[in-house]
Amino acid sequence: MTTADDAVSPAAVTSGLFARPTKTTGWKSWLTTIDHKKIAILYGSTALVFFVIAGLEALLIRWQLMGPDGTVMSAKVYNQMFTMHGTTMVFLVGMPMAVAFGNYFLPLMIGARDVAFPRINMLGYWIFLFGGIFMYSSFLWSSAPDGGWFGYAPLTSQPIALGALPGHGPDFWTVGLIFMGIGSVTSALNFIVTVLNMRAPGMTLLRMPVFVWMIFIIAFLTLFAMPPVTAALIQVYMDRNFGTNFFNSAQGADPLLYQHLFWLFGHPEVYILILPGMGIVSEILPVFSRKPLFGYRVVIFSGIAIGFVGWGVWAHHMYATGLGPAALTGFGVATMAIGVPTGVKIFNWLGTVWGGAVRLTTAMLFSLGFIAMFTLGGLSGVMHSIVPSNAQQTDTYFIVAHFHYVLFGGLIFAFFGGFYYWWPKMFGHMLGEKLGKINFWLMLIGFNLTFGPMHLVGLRGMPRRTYTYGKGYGWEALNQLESLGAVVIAVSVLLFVINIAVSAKKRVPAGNDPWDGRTLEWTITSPPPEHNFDVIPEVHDFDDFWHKKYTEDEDGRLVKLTVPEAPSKPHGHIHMPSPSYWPCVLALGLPIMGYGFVFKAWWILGVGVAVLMVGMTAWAIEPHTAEENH
Amino acid sequence: MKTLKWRQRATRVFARATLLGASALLLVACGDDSTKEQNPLEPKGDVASRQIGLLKFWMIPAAVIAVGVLSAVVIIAIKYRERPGNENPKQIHGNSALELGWTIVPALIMAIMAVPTVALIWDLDAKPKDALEVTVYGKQWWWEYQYTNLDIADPAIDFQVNTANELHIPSGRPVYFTLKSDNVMHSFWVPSLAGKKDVVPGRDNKVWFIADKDDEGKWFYGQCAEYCGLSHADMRLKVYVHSPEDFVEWARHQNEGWSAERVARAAYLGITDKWGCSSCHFLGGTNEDADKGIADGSGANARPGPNLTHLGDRTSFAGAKYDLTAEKLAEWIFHAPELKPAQCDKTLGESATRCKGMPNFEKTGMTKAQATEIAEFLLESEQ
Repeated sequence: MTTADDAVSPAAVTSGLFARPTKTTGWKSWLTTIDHKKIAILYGSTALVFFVIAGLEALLIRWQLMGPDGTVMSAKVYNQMFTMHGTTMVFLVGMPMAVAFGNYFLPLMIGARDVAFPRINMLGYWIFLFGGIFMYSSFLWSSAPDGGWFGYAPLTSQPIALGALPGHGPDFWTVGLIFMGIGSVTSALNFIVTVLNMRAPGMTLLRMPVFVWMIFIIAFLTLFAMPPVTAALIQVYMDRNFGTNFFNSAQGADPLLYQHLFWLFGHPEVYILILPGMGIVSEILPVFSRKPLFGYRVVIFSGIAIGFVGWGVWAHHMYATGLGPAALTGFGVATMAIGVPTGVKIFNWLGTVWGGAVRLTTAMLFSLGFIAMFTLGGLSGVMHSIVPSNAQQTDTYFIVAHFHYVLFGGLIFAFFGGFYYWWPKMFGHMLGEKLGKINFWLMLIGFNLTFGPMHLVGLRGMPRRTYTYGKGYGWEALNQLESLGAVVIAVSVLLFVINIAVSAKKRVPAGNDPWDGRTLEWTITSPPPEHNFDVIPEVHDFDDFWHKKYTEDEDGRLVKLTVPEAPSKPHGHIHMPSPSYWPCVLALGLPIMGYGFVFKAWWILGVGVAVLMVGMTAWAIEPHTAEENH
Repeated sequence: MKTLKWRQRATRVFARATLLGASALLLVACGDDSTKEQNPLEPKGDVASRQIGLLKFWMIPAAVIAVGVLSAVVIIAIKYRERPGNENPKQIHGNSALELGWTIVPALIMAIMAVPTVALIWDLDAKPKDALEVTVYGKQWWWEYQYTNLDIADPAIDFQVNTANELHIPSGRPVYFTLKSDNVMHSFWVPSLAGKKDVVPGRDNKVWFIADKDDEGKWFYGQCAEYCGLSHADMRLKVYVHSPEDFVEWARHQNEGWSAERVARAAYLGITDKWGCSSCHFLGGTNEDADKGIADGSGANARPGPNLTHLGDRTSFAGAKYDLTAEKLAEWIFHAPELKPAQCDKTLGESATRCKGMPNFEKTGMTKAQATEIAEFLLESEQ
């Protein structure tokens, strides 16, 4: 097994302050592990916790808005809630959950034993965890971010003394996001190098599963989207804390620069969030239809097309800002154009299921739900390209409805489909199907009850980000329905958590291949051994495992082969990279530095830098393998 | 009941659910009193009508696609369900003609949509002829309006007029707005009359709308649509449509300041002096230079609080959040931050001019009786 860790020169083996940790079991091993599967479970479980936290924030929001003149929260707290709900869902749920799935299954699906940079992989997780805790620690100073997840300047960038947003909310927000951006870029690089360098023999790019392709695409999007937003966030921090004038119109700056930089990241970010969902669904639908994905290449290339055109539509978030008719025309038409590759995928998914042998498992239900809900979200998305009518819808609940249909009806449904589909592989036991189906139907009903009426209330003129509304606007009944729906969603998520516990107790063994799967992860034991594959598989086809099990007759109908290949035994010892303390130490330096930046306490910053340097140095000189493994 | 087949039972449940859903919809449709609706779906005037017309045009293909895809999902999930004894499915890997088709058809639909969209973008961008011009200042958290070319309406009117939150416009004439802010971003939005346009510091964005003769005597509601900080939700506005003649009358009246007798009473109540109201609010007739500034436009956007000269003529206050009554106004003067969140916290110092929003006068020693007196004085419509 070759990973980049192995490429260290022999001299490094003997140096190092401490020996590398060796344990791969027990709770301590989770702190030092560099096994991509364990890291994935850490990513996933942490993201799930943040999902519940952000969900609770959403419930508070719905409680406040249940009736006119709500008094559950003050305006200040409400503004913190919607800011943290959005920020959490995007940066602490959507992105890391995609990384969790990618981390676990990308190496398995391309027949690799780990990702290219195992220690950097772990570093990414620690940065994400510490970044999330850092941002949430702002509540201890009642200074939670309250500038919105988009953090528009000059509201966020006005010097603290001028009081646009008193307290340290935007400082926690900018510094936290800058650090988490580092984590995102490390995992993006890791995925790109892994896909390019570590595929099993015969796994050509156009034999890769769609999920791997989508992660590959979003890795590039992440890599290029993070720099502009990082620049914008640094500028906001500098304006706010040191009186620079990046966005100060009184000194001739144009605050719209912030929006351009933010959405130059923010729009690709939408695709960073949704493409993994599309990938997961593209794995589930063929398995439970017993048919190959309809138009594999079209799905891949429309994904790539979205990846490119996604850079040319950012200003559709800014139609009301006064860009002028030429820019509006260009971005309007580009937005219409991106609807086409997205629509193509929907038809391809329908074509996949059409004529298949459909098994309505929970995973399949969530995937079908994804197609339906995502279609609705796409159709309301096309409305944004109709620039003149967008002037009525932008910044209303219509937009809130739209992107929840894309990101909840799309991404979150896909995640849940992915949980039910891959749970047996990850933990060796099935996730309860009966509870799962109730979980699905409650979520579908709750979701539509919450976000369906938001279309209407938005079209009837209710703006976003308002902590209250008056009587007599005609919004009361719709808001009550939405709040009711939110409770139904909460119940369905609770059922999912119960299902996890109940299934873990029952432990219905999954076996290697419970769903009659098509891709490489189903060829190995559940859960997979630390080294994944006893023998690196040789790939001859797209859906290689499927073609080992089935063939087609002259009519193109499915015929089962009778000879399953016996898995061969490993040839001697498989060398895996050793665990390491240092990613955790290095990452710990960042939040400490963060407090230094937020409170402008330079000695704390110094401590953070010192921790960071210790982590980095010890990482660089630690022996590349533990003694015991020699 | 036991004899009922599951099908019958299911039908019953379905019927009940339908009934429940229908009544919920009915509730939605006519549940509330509609006095304050700001509903773009019921557009008034040319601009809003044409904007929403495009949306309705798109609703036709959107509905067809939505119904098509949703029913396809349900149908294939049921029709192709795996059943014992079924033949194994045919392995179809794709179909180039079909895939080309469902790439080209959506592209065509989009191309058709693009034509009226692009046309309307350029149409609405052009400045209308003979428009009444108003400069809108987005404040935290209220609206200031400065009427800059009233003389086009009536050559005898050679002054400008300044007011807050409640915008008055004549029917039948386009109103062309220049949007300004020296603080943060806002978005100026009167849904019944036009889509929103952001108020961006350092940029003079333009937007216009027109009200019809039918709309005379009506109020239209709106509010800030870009998150602008703490009290963003309370930054509302109203628009009143006059007949062209009435509008000129209204403008004339707005130009009149307080009489000398009224100014003296204001001083007696401490409005211009003790409580320092005039340090944040323009009060016509109390300061000659300020009066001149408003009349020639140089004094617009000079104060952190709204012009209170003709507060008695208005129907609402506090960013149009509350209906204007003496009682509520007194409460407001007494402890405003409890009615509408304001930022006057320690990081800003206690100085009222550093406040965003109306400060708390109870804390500066005002009594409830004094607040009531001031409120009653401000609401007297007799000048």
